Amino acid sequence: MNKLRTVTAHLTVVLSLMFLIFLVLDQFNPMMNFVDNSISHWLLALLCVSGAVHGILYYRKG
Amino acid sequence: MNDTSRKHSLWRHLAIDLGLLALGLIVFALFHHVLPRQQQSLGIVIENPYKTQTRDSGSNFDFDPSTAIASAGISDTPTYSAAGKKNNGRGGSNGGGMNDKGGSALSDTATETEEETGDSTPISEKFADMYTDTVVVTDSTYTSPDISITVTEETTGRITYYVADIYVRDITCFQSALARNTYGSGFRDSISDMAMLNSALLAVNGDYYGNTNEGVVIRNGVIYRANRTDCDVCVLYYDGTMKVMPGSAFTVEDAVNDGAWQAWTFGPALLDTDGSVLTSFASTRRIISANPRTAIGYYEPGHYCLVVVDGRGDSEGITLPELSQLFADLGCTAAYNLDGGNSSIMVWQDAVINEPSGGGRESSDALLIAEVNRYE
Repeated sequence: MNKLRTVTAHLTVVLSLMFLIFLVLDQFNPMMNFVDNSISHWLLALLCVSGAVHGILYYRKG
Repeated sequence: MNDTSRKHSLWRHLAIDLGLLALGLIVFALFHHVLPRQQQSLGIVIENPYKTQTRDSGSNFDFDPSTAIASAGISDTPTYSAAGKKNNGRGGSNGGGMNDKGGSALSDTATETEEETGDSTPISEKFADMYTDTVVVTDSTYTSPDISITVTEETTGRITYYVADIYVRDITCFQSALARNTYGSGFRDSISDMAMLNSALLAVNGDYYGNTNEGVVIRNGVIYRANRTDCDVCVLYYDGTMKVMPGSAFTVEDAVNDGAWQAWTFGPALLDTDGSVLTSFASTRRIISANPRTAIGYYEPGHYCLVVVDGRGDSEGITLPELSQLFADLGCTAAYNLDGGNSSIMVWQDAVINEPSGGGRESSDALLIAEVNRYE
């Protein structure tokens, strides 16, 4: 369970930073569509899942 | 765990995250826009209702849109006459439909320029004094029985720009080229190479359609893509008219019925529907600010201009409001912004004549002026 918590923590941090970078890039070049494309949609779903799992594991640990 | 080891653990985790972040961004970029990937095209061919016999009975370069898609690997392609009737092949598509959001400064209807000018003379019968019976070339001009181009370099303050004033007797002289002759993302070619491969007299970069899956892509009478977009869309028709409309106003049915020859998705529109200067643009501040630019202007059917503005160097670039004013000063009735920045390149008589920012970059498409008949 500890391993899963470590993995989800890393995933959440990395994906969050990726989306912050996408948002900044989107300001410079919106036509590249960094935020609203199919790959980003999958990454966003992954971010949500990892964030939720990490939160639940945190609660479990109490 | 004491404070020191806790601190070490934190830095170790952060280092791992930064490494993973770099790896993630590289993989994302590869799949998002770097790796060439052929895309599924709608493959709808709109036939030219104004197609005439070539004047030259010998070899010619007469353009047939139905052959243009062969290289894109599209088979069983439906073709449509500009009257909107399907001629053969499978059923068409509505391209996924457009939304009705439209982040455009234009009103929700397309600019009906022909109705405004009241001019229904075919472009083949207009501007006779602009053409010559034979090909006449100088450093800044090219005239032939079908094409007249005058290229000028202008400097205003700290802005240097190039204007190509273009008259065409046959709209198929106003062509597009796809990098690697393939529709897809990640395919890139230099504008010079695309110009050379297509024997273009003049070429500028297009809308870099390969960077996104949004919007409308019609090239040389073939509808490759007609997806939802909030951007303005620019459509050039077989009859020589050009309309700039909000993405929400574009439909495949209209494009087929009206005989669309080219359509680009980048924008924004640079002039209002009545040809007046726009002061507000649905774009971010960074996009509106001074940058190198490429844009297309429209005077009337058969008469256009392509403008490339240098920037980020000796020339500082131009803001969108300034570009809008420039097209109003040129006397255009419609104008549309294309991809800019490092992409902004103009090739004239086989040479890049502007100073592209950062040395320029390859692009996924180009706008070309090329002869469709061979003249000596």
